Amino acid sequence: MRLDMSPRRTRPRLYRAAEICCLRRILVILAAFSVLATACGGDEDALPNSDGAVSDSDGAVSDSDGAVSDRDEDDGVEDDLAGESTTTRESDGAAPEPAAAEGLACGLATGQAATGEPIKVGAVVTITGAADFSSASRSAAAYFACVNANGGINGRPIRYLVEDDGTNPEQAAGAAARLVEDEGVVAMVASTSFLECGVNGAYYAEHNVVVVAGTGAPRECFESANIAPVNAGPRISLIGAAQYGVETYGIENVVCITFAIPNLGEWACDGIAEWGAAEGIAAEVVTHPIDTADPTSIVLEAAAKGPDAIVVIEPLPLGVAILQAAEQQDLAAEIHWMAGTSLYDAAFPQLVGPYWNGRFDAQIELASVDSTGADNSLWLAVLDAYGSSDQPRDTFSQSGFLAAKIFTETVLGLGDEQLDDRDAVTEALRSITRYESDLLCGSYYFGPGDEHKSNHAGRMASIVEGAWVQSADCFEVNDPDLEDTLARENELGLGG
Amino acid sequence: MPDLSPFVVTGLALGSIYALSGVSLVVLYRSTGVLNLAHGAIGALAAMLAWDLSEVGRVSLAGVVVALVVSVGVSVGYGVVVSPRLGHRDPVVSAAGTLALALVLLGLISWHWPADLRALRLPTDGTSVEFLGVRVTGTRLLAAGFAIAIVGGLGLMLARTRIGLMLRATAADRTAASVLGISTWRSDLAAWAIGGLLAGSSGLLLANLVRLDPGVLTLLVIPAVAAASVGLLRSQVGAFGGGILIGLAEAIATPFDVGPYRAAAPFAVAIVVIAGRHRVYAVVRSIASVHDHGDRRAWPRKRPAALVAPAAIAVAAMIVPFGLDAFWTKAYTTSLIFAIAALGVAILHGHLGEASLAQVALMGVGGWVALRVSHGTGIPFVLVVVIATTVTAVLAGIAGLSAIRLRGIMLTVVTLMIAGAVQAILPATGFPDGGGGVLGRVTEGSRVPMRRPSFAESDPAYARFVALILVGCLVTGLFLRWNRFGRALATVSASDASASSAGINVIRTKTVAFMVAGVFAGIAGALLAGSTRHLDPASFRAIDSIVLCAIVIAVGTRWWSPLVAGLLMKGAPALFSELDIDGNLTLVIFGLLLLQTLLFAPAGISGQLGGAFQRLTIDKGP
Repeated sequence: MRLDMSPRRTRPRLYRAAEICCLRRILVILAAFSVLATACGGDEDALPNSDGAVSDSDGAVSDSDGAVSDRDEDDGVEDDLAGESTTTRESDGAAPEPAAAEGLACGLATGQAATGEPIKVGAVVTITGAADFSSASRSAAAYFACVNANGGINGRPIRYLVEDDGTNPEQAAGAAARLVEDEGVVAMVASTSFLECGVNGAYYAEHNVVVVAGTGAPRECFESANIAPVNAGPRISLIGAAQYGVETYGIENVVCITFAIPNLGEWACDGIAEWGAAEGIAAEVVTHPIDTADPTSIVLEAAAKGPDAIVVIEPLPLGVAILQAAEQQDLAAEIHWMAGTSLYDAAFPQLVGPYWNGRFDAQIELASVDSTGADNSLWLAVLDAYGSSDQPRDTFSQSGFLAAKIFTETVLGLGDEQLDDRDAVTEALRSITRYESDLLCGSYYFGPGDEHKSNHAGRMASIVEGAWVQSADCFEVNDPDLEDTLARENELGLGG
Repeated sequence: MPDLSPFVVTGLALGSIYALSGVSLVVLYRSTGVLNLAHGAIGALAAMLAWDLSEVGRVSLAGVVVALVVSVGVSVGYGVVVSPRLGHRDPVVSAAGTLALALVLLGLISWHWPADLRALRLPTDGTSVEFLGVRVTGTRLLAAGFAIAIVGGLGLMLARTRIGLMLRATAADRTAASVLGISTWRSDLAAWAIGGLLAGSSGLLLANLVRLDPGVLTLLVIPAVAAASVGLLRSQVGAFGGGILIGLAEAIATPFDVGPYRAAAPFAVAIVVIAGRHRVYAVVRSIASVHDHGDRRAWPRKRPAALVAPAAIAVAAMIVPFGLDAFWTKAYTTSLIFAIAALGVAILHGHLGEASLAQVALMGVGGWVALRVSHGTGIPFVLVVVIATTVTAVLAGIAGLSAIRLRGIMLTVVTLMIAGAVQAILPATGFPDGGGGVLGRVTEGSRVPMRRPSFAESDPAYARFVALILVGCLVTGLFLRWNRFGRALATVSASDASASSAGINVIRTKTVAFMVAGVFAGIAGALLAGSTRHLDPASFRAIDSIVLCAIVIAVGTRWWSPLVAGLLMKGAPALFSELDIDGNLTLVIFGLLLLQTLLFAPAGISGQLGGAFQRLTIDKGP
């Protein structure tokens, strides 16, 4: 079973260079020089004389204004090209309706475009800064576009407002305020961010807004009253990988490598330590600075502890760097290497190279991207029909789609007057108890309380001949921290 | 005791990376007096171009050539067109100009090549030699050899060639060189071309050895500055040694249980070395220092009329939040908070003539203390602010003491090292959020938001509260300007020696100045904690400190300039977000705005605004 790699990632580099990139590359270079050119203009009249300086600076101000509006136009052009790009704040299903869209089972599946008063839904997503998770909101936007083309929510379209948090906490707080208070969204759907959960968790609770998050990563995404992601998170994913190591390779001594961010990397590796203590597996943790320039020292330190397996939870570029360092030291000859879902990316096997064939496994929190279940097929079809071809077909995208679908199918059960009532929508989403999908191993539920970890079972994929191949089907992850969650599931009648 | 030998090898390998960039920085700094903060960004551009022109991540010769040509082009373009217009001002202003270039380049790169998984493979990756149990790849050897070759080759070039003579003459005395008929233009051209070539080639190597991530490559300039500063920015051999030293320090710390804190090692080493190299000088100076005889001059006449304007701003600032929506209330509050921090930088720069690149880092310290105290004790908010401010001021004073005999760019570099160290430490400690222990972090369940004062629970009320404190701080800044302390600072800024002979205790005055900056950083940090109710290390990166300092220098030294600085720093990005401008292009616009301000407004934006106002009032009168 091979991954259907996204066109964006598999398109030959030279083709891209010839067809598209030349112009943009030249533009980039020209723009770089235009910085210099801006400096040229107006210099002649930069006089030390104060009057002169005033008039000169006036000129300069209007120059700069001109530059701003130019950029603005460029930006607009880019947005147009990208269709319903999530870099824009509004992507309210105004996408062109392709012929292939007919017959997709989105929402009411009526084939009639929704026309009424829009229902506002928001998302805060890390798009610029440390990473780009817009894959999640772009697939949610595509699904909502499909819903809007198929009768909407009882005739009313969804207006999906996406805000970039720029990997900046103040910007994330501002984004939530704009959506919740200024725009009055009824819920947040497919939010996926490095820091939004920690920054806004309490704010959402205060304003009684719930977040059906796409991919949650930091601990706060799973342990806040009003946030319930569809994925499992790095901690459960990593423990799942280690568990697979015990089952498959009989490992007894594991080292966890991660970056030193307490509620993210360290939280995940602490999970390995707690799980090891509970299962009688020796487990140690190696942490490193997130911006490390020295992956070799990290892998040497991990190997020096004499493990039979190393599990890693890292952002993608750092994951590649660590595997390259491990390859250079030939550390996979005797040590098994495994990872959480963060490294399950279509381009990853090619980038790390043939050394890792048969030597690397990753736990996957949702279905493998080439699986044939109904929801996975619908996801791919929706992206083909309402997304853009350069949009990644990855786990983030699956999670955004699933969050949007859960939201849509839940609010379809509400009366028209309740659709604008945030409290009613919140109540309905909170009441989801058993949402089944082939993208999940278990079922999604929201429920009461501060902890929302509905996804605690996953699958495994391994690198085989330069591609990911699913190597294990759904299995439960034994995170000792799930005790409360499992007890609550029993109370809700979801146990077993 | 763990076996350190493998880490010595990896340390040498890592050190050669830092050395390579450090040496490049020194070459340019010596010849042009510009500390090139865009070094990493130019390298990132080269690496991305080489990647784009390569097939399946394996670079082609054509790709390398294009990448290097563009690096040289960008570097020379900046060096010839922009740099001379900043060159004869403060070295910090020239450094801020290169920062603007770095922001523009980073924004353009991230916009053109959206975040994705990439790797740059070099043909030298396949080969390796084993040394003390560690395999060292050909690329690492190449990087080390390249750094050594640069040190040697440049030394030879400077000593033996005509262009070397030209560069040395310009570096020694620009005016004299010019009088002697040396074209400083040509010499600058050569220096920027070499700088661009080195930036491009180290970018290609670093993209392979570290990772192909434009953000990471751009920010590698900060440890590179650490390496260069070990050579006091003037010695290539010193910078090479510095690079190796900090690489070793970082790698050898790996097997010890300091975990993530080891990222602070390069900066700690740099600070110790810089302070150490100045120690002998400091001892001599302290023997010669004159005792403080006290200042018996009358205080300047108070100008009550001058307080009308602050009062008007106070009223306006308090009214504004009534008309704002939730998004703008938050953006406004954050802007005012950064204005308070900017005031600290403005006092250091405006009165003492020194640039601090650690102000936002100190805000992080203040915020951390505020959260810890607030969650730990439950005392009223105002007291929390007072404690956080005191701790921050004391730490700033201590940091200031370590650099007390430094001036100008070296002092600035030390502050950047402090910012680098704080940036390395904060992600590892995290911010307190209601948990126990020293670090006060919650490890299970919801985070506890920080309490606000009871009279400022809502966002608009909090905005008014912050506005009130800002105006209080601005007025304090005014008084500091008028009183004895302000005059002492002005004298010290002219010369330590003349201040000493005027009976001013230079050490005390400088330390107090750093503490004053720390006070404003502490207040701002604590208020930010109260504003967002939680803090995140992402708010306090070294680059934010650099940007704040650059903006403060750009907006000028009017007493209300910090307000403009705060609005630019946080209000402008909010405006761009309101206008739906892509986050990466925001960086580009921001960089251009910074450059515009540095280039066209020697008196700063405040000068432009003040000038415009003056002209209006003059035009009115018959």
